[in-house]
Amino acid sequence: MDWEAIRLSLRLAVSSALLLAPLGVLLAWPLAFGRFRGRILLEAISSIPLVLPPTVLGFYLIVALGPRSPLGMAWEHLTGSRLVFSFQGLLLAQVITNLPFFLQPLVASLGGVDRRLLEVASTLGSGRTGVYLRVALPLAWRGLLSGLILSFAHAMGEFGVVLMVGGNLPGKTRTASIALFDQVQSFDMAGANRTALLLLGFAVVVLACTAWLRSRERAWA
Amino acid sequence: MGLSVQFAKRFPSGPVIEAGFELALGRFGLTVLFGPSGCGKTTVLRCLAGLERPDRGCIRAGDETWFHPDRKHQLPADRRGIGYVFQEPALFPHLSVAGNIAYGLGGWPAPARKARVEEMIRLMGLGEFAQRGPSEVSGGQKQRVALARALAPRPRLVLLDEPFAALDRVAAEPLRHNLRQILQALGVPAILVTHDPQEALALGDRMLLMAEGRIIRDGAPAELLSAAGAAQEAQLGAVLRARVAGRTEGLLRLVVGRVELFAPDPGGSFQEAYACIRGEGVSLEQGPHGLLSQRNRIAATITGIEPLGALKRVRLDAGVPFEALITAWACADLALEPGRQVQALIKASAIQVIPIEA
Repeated sequence: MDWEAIRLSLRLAVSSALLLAPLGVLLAWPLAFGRFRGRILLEAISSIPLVLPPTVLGFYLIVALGPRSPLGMAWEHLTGSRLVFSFQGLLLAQVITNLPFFLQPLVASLGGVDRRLLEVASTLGSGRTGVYLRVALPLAWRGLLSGLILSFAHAMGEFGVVLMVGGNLPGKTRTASIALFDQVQSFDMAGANRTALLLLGFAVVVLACTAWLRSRERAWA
Repeated sequence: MGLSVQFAKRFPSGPVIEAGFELALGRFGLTVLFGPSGCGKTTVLRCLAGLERPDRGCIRAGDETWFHPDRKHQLPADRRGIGYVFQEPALFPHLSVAGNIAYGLGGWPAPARKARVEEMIRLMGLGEFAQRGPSEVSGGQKQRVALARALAPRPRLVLLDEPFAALDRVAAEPLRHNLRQILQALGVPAILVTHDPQEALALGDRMLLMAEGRIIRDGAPAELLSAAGAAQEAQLGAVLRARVAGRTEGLLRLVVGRVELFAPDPGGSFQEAYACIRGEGVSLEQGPHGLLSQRNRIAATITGIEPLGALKRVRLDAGVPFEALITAWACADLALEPGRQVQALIKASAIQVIPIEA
């Protein structure tokens, strides 16, 4: 078993979930309650990673993060190292790839919050931020947790984007799913079996958790 | 300081809702916004609260402008300093009873907040429920919590949108009984939306009578409701001031002008009462009659007939004005027309009696 790859996957998944939480919470408000013109467009853009082939997404991320891109140049100027084929580059790619996995359950939960509660909160002196943070978000906590778990799980197993943006550098960008690919390529079927089983077990636990949270949400409603 | 309201709001493919009135702020006064269901009462309240935006007009509270269309100005609900109680309690399910009441006190120092929550809990009689969740208290208690929550931040005005409508009679009665005293004790002016004449008469100092999207009359509830034609204009049937002429077998014998009515006796020793007769409870017949279960049979003259959706509203005069709501088919069948004499039959149970205390 390539424990180094599994540790890296875990580190990547935890870090991307930690970055996704504030970003997703910020974006979920306009998607759930916004009445502006570009809302549909914002919704479509934030969902692109769900339907786009990971290699296509990976290609554009290489272009956007590469050494000749403004972002890549700025990063290199600041840190002295490149963004592509690094852990940081991989993390950024993971945040973008997993954003819809975090957003969708959260936005769905927020949409289910009784509007009158939000109206009551505003008559009691809460501005938009107060209404969101004190009423909407606490009532949509299961969606928030579902989003965190799903995006964490997806980050654990992501393959295409990781390979495109990070390559396959042991200890740096080789994650569990890339290690599995390597094991199959070198006919280490026993090792591949162990890695695949670990990822499978992880996926089952995660899906059971989200299904349980959804059933509790219905009970709450 | 006063509230000055003059606005109109149009709904797509719906009626225009208009409101124009002045209201004193800074002292207790209970104004009833009274009218039939669907006449726009809730829209008026929501525009006042800042939950809906009017299309034109102006809303001012003292020097503060709450709404002005020219300046594209709409003061958000959270900065108007009003309390709002919905038909449903709409309590925050993730907070306890005390947490709900404390919600609007975010900016208060902790000791003052704690004292205010305790005061409201005591005033509303919620002592033993303070730490319970909203799902662990009854419907009547939930609405008390909603009222306490709206009143805790010392609002300039409290808006009550049929707060007893979702409660059964047993739960509604004690709260209705206390509401006026509570608001008076706190010195808060209030606007109460209702379509129940009993509630309007029992609670209101002033009544804004609303019909078909407009405020059509403004005055004291008792005077307005018993004024000839006012209740009919508001599509509420008739509210007639009657003298109690006798009591027998659970029924009151009421005299209104030359008309005698039998109605259920609500109990008590009053000598005068309002008799509320809704048009749905009145049927009409022509010619000779046989034995009927209706207690009240009144000879009346038809003064007018108007369409009302699938029904016809037949205005009647028997020395006092009242009305019947009947199907267009029945209207044609009886060949009803203005000037014609008919017999109006009213079930005793269709008359609501509101005692006038001496």
